Amino acid sequence: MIEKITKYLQQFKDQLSDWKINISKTEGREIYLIGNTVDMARVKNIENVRLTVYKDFKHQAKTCRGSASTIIHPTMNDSEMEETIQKAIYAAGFVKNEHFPIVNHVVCINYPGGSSTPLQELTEIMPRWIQEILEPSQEMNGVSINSAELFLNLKEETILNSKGLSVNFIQPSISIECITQAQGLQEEIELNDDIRLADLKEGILKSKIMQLLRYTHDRSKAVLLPKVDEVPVILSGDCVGDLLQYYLHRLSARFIHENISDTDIGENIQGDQVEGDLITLYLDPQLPGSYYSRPFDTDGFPLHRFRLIHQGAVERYWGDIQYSHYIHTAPTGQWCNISVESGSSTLQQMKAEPFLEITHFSDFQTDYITGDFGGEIRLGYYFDGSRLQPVYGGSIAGNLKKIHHQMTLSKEKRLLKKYYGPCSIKLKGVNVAGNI
Amino acid sequence: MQVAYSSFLSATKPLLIKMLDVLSQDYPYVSILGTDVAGNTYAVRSQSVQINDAHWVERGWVVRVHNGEHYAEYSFNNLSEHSFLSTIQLIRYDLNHTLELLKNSNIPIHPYSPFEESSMRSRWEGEIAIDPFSIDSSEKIERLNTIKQKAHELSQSLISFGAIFQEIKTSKCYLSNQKDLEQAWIHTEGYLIPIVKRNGVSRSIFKGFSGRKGYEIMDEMEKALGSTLDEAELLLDAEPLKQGEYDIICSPDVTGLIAHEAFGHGVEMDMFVKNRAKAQDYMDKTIASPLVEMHDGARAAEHVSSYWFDDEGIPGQDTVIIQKGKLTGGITDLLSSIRLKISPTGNGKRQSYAHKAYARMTNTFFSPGHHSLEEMISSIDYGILLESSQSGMEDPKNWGIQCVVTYGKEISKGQLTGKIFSPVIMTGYVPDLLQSISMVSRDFELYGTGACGKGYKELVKVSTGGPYIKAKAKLV
Repeated sequence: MIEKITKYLQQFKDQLSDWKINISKTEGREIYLIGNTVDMARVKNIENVRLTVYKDFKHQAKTCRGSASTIIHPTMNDSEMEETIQKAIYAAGFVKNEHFPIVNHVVCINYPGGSSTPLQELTEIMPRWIQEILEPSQEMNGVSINSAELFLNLKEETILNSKGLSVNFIQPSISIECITQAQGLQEEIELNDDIRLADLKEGILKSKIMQLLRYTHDRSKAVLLPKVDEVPVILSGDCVGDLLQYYLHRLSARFIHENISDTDIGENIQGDQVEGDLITLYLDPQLPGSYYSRPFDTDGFPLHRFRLIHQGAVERYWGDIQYSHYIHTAPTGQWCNISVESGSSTLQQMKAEPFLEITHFSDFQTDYITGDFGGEIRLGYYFDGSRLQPVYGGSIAGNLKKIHHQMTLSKEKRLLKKYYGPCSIKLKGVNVAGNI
Repeated sequence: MQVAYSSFLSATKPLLIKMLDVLSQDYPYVSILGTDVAGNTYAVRSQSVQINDAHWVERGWVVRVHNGEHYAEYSFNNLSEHSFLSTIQLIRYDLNHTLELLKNSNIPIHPYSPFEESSMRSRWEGEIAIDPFSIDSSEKIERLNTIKQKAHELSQSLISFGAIFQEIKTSKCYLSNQKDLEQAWIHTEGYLIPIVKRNGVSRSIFKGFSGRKGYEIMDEMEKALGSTLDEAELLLDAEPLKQGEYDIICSPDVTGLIAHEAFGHGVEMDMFVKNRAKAQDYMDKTIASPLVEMHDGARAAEHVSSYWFDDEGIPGQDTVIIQKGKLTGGITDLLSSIRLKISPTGNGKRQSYAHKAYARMTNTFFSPGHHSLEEMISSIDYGILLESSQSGMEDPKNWGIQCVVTYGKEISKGQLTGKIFSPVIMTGYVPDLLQSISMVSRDFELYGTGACGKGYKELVKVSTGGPYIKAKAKLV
């Protein structure tokens, strides 16, 4: 199919300036469990091709670069493919964007960081993955697996462009949505987790399921969060990475170009009078062991680690080749994994005084424009100075911009999806809505 | 005008019938869902313009087989006369091998009896006022550009603005030994996204437009520009809300968020199969105020999730979920209906041909009542009018609520004071909220922008809405 597409691109070469093709082939196996029984098995074999065309033209004495992207289905016949490409080229002529370059001549076939684990091998060990989901609950009393969905995918990505770019990489991925249950103090309760693995080593999934079951046990002993006044809040779990993404977005070339962020280089992003920990943050696209790590962004730009914030001071922006060009900064590529350096306090020190630690939210939300964050509590731990009690219900709301001068980061670090860094953050001044 | 059914799906139908015949030699039951979704997104922002394919674009098939004991599925998107036999071989090998692997590992597989389909043949093509695909892309960009320029003229606080238009044409076919179904429709979506800033404080708002509508949705966007900018500027003066229990009035979009998140997910009956829904213990019991009537269904309303048949070939319908405060029904996909021994309701939806079908909402709403908004406001001594829904999260097992609303307007002594609180999170227990509903307005609106997930994935189009409702809720 690529030959056909490039044939048409060659045919229309006078009407376009550049092009890019993103091809992704996914072979997958899916298992849906209810209790310890398979409800359904699914197989997936799909190929997606996206073509982006770039067209340079003059508008009011300025050189513009228009672009338009379109999906090319493998089942398109010649005339449909030709018409689709022509329409995209025509549309690109109305996109009056400032000119920007595309990635120039990177050739990397079979990226060495990728995996060559064949799908056949992934499929053959599928029963092992199911056992790793089901076995831990046999070792714990009172908690069990309600249901789980297991997705084993082998994805091959190829990116080509008219400047000679040609990269190809294969990544296996395992994702599991797991629901656990237990009898609570008043009724049955459940917790869920969306587990993503890039590391296929035996036992890793089992340990994550075990951890979820332990949390489920705690949730079964939890009471409604009482009314609490001005207690420091400790965030733990996936919400830590979500919250710290606020800083990444503030430094995004797109946010800067679109005036959504006015953060300056050299600025102390937490303000000038910081009483807590100063943040040091890296754009870290290839976090070891992360499901979300990858070697190139969707433009084919090679991804590397960059320090963006050092001890609270902004060192540089980040972004794709287009928006970085617009704000006159070197591109880093567009991928949102981050790592953050350790803070000053151990978890034990953080928990020496009364606190509310929240490990699970219904849906933790952070507004990257305003800094507002919050959510309803599914599982937390309240320490009133003498007793630690698992709690649920109630919610928190706060604004990171107003309180990050008093933020404490833990010394202990953890990998959480797109984030590697302090596993907990302690915040003061968060509005906690408990139950009367 | 009538929306034309996909010529691609028509052209490949003989090959699919052949596939059905060949696979039926191996499997007692075979069905094929074919999809062809085309569409574009036009986005004009303050500093840039984009034209891309729409998020929902797809073209492919999913084969479902029953091997006498179990159901299994194969999703693919490449098929030709040339590759026909090899595709058949792959489907057979991969499905049989996967099931055998599970059996040989002593992992139990749930036995299903095959679904008895009744014979059905039909084609349904939706109606549209102005076909957006007939309008030149230059005009769409120009019109969005005009909206953007006007926005910058109207608001001094505006730092960034986005105007987005999306057109989607969906065609689907469903073939089995008993069924030959085809359908096509168009829906459009529009978005106005201003970001304003004053004295170092930034606020953004998102105004969506959607429906089984055509290019005319641009008119709605243009008309709403002024009020959208006013709302964004109002937010600059917003204060945080003091936590507590309040008398509240929900605008139709917030009412829809409650219908969808607080209750709708809890009556998706695949949750009953997994024993994950509290609602299954409350069937035919009173769970809401007698003023409450709630519906879901592809044919309950004309909006972005209206269709003739679902992704399992079951005709859509209008399901009454709550009537006079009593829980009367749930919504189900095909496999859940087999397990629960009930009739399917036409709610089996997939994110795409490459995803599994689940029990999903379609158009979900509370029915209108008899009060006016003015009567509702004047009945409140102190409370909050909640407007502009943002997000929510379901909790079918324990009926917890989390609804995030962009802002609330203060009501004092029966009048709006002009004071604004933002953002507002509503939490609590679903039956407490539904039973506290004391007034329901005559208004009725549906909203269908964005997408609904199940857990953290499986995005599908839905619409939600209803009237203004007055209730009591915990806010923070």
